Amino acid sequence: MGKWEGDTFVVDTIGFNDRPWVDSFGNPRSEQMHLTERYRRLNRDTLEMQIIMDDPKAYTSTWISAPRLFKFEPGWEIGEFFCVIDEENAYADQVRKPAGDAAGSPK
Amino acid sequence: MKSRTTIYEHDRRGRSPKAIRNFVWKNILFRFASPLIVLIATLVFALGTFAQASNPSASVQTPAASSAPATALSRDLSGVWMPYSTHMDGIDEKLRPPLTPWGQARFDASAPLVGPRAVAGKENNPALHCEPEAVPKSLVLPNPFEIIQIPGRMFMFFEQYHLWRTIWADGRPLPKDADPSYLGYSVGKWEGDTFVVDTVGFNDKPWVDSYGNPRSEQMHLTERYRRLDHDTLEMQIIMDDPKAYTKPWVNPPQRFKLEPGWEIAEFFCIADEENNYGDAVRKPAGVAPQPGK
Repeated sequence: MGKWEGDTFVVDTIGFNDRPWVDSFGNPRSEQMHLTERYRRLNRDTLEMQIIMDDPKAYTSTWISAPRLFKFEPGWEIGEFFCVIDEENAYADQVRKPAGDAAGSPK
Repeated sequence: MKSRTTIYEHDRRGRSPKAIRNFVWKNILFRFASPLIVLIATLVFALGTFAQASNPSASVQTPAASSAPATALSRDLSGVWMPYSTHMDGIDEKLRPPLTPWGQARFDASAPLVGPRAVAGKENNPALHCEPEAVPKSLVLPNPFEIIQIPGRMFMFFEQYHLWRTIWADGRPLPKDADPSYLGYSVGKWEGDTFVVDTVGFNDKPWVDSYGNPRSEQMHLTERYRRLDHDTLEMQIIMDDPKAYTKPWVNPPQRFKLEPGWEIAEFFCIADEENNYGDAVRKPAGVAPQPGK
């Protein structure tokens, strides 16, 4: 559910399952997670989004991330990007596993 | 696959159709009926007085009838729509034209889960690995979709497999050389009361139905939508794919019911769950009876 608080559109979400990670590094989420997203359009071309995760089952205090900026792309169309298991497996066998750990991965 | 046919009879809160009707009657009609009747009576009286004053022979008209011809259908297709029939009859194999040699080879290589050619344990429908089925199959699945119209486009959100598509309705032409994709590239336009959606740019990976009928990169899909009345949407699917079929495959119209109280639920295809279901239920049970045919 979302609502405007002044210039900020605040989205609150509950009712999660505990299956996906919240990032690429294995950090968990539980069924108790309360996610808050705060959106502000700073100017015509810039959207700011801040993610706040309150999940008392997984974390001892609220996880507040730094705001992130998005650029408006009026000429773009959202492309088709499905996860297809057979392609994922073929990519892993041909590229990812032979290459070992990805070079220059963050952290 | 999970059986979701109960959705058709009960809403998300588990209420039966009768309970829903009672709810609507008590909470909407009862609450608003009397002020509404007063309002309509006032309007009709005012219009009647006006009409008599300007033209003594004119009959009393309702406000709705005066704004548009009585035969015009609504151009608002928004809402959550549920197929009246859960038998996926919007794509009818009985009306399939003869296959081309390429189409026949694809068809022979397919091993469906259902129908006369089903062989337990041999199924190779790509959807069993959660590969997207996309359109046209998504249009006839026995679960609801939601249509949202904004200026220049229409969106369709399909409950089953959590799929969405964009239909451009800003007058742009179909692309000449679209990259092959599961959903293709869609443009729509109004022809009188009918919203006509044309799609090209398909890949040849999913089947168009549950019985292994193929599609190629040459498929041109046409969907024709008409809102017959407030509660009823009609959709007709026409597949013109000269690489797979010798003639266009013209299907009978399928009807959908407006479900104003519903919300599209979350229904992802999870490969592990599909595999577990296959091992625990489907394979031990053997071939499923052919649904509704």
